[in-house]
Amino acid sequence: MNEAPPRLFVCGSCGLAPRERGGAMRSPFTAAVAAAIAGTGLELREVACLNGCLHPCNAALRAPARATLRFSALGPDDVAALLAFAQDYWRAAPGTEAALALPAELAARRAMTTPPLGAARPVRRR
Amino acid sequence: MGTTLFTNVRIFEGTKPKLEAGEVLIEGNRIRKVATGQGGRISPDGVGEVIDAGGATLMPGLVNTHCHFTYNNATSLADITSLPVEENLLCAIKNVEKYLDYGFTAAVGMASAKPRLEVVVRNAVERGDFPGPRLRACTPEYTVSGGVGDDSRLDLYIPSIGIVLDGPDAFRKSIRELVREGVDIVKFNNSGDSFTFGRLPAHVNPMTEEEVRAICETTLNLGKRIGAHAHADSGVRQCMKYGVEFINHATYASDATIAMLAKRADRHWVVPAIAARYNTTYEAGDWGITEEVATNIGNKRELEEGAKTMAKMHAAGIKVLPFGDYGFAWLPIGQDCRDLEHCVNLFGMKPWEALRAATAYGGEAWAGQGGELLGRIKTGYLADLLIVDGDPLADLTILQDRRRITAVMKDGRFHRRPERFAAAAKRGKAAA
Repeated sequence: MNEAPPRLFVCGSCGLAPRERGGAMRSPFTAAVAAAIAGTGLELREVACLNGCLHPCNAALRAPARATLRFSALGPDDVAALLAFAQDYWRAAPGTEAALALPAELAARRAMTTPPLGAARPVRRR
Repeated sequence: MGTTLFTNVRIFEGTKPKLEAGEVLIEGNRIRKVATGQGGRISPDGVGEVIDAGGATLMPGLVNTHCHFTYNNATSLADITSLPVEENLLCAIKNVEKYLDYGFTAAVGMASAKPRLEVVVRNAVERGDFPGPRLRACTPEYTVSGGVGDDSRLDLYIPSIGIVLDGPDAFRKSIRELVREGVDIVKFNNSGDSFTFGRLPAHVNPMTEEEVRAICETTLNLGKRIGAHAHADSGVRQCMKYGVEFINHATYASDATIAMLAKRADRHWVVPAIAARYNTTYEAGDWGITEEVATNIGNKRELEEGAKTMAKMHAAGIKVLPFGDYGFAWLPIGQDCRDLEHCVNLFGMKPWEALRAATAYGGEAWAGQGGELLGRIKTGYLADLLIVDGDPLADLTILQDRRRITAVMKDGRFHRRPERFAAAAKRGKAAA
């Protein structure tokens, strides 16, 4: 199985008015992530929605055989902590990521933890 | 006839497990030539436009075979129904453009929010009034009293998102009327669903054999196609018996039913639309549906059983297709490509198999007996294609990011030209 690159999902709709979505505009949070992610080894996935609409802005970490973690109510000031935690998530052995210690900035922002489901085989990271 | 030559691309053909470096020539609305491997060059002489894609992936456009392009991302079926038809049309116009933006060049409607809405939108897209995928227009869901979509009570009438009828003759008359209006697909509900919040579980089939036979005979007699909301095992069996091509959900299909379906895999497509189960179970908390609520209404069991059933079906060679049921608040339109992750994580597909289902198989399903060629990068096929920044076979999640879909071509014309998001054009040459 090809090993996908480490990535961070960010909602491309949060923080934007409906008429602004789907174009070139980014919210201040997403723009801050895009500016800071270079050099971290992470890839940005700017997606249509992360289902945390009532508490913008949202970011998520997920991968086959790993727990999905979503963080809500994020702002530009949280970007550094989020990127650092994202790197920890990807370094952790599959199945251990849900137990990782959260930095103080994110402790109250973890909105959802979903266990890994289904047929995927664990991804071994070298 | 206009010609476009794509050079320096890595091609996902639609049915092959690996990308191939090469070039693709478009003439008019068809793929004129594909060159890969050692002979991977096409002369640019006389070509109208040559586009160096900088090593990006060129792949068939995505095909959605359970598309609710008239839904409004509401929190319930009643909220969709309560949207007046005028506002609903405006919403649908935006939705189809969004689908095309996200790389869906073809879509099969699988329940219209209003009786003529999908027909009207399909016709307008075909005329070029506004952008959208090539569309198959569906009826609203046909259901019975107490079935999925009938939220009324004896003391309170609630308009249904579907058409609530009872008895074979009632279905026959209504189907004839909607075929008269121009639908391509007739959809009916021969199972329950956890979206009835426990009232009619998914494994129960509320339709009689006579009602299903009447629906299917009438539809096929008029030369139209059929889709069914068929969680229940008996519902799947009815689909096989009466010629239903689009078997949606199939959650509780038994092993014996799966074995029967595997022998008829060339006549049916199974579209589980699993995101409605996954997102409702785990990601609808903001709307008051916690995992506990999802468990109590039966949705979590539908997810678990559905995943097991689809894994068995895929292993048995049945064509399981991604996408479906996006158009609700916690699975909004635009999020659809997340289904490709579910195909791998929940159903055991390899990434290229998920992408094959989303393109080549989807194209076969869209075309049906009509014989149109779409869903592959192959000579003679319709020029519905995408340029993608990155390798979706290595990471399917790329297709969830609209900025990574750097070009969308439908019918040989650009909906989004490659220079709008210029990342791919700046990359180096493709590896040989």
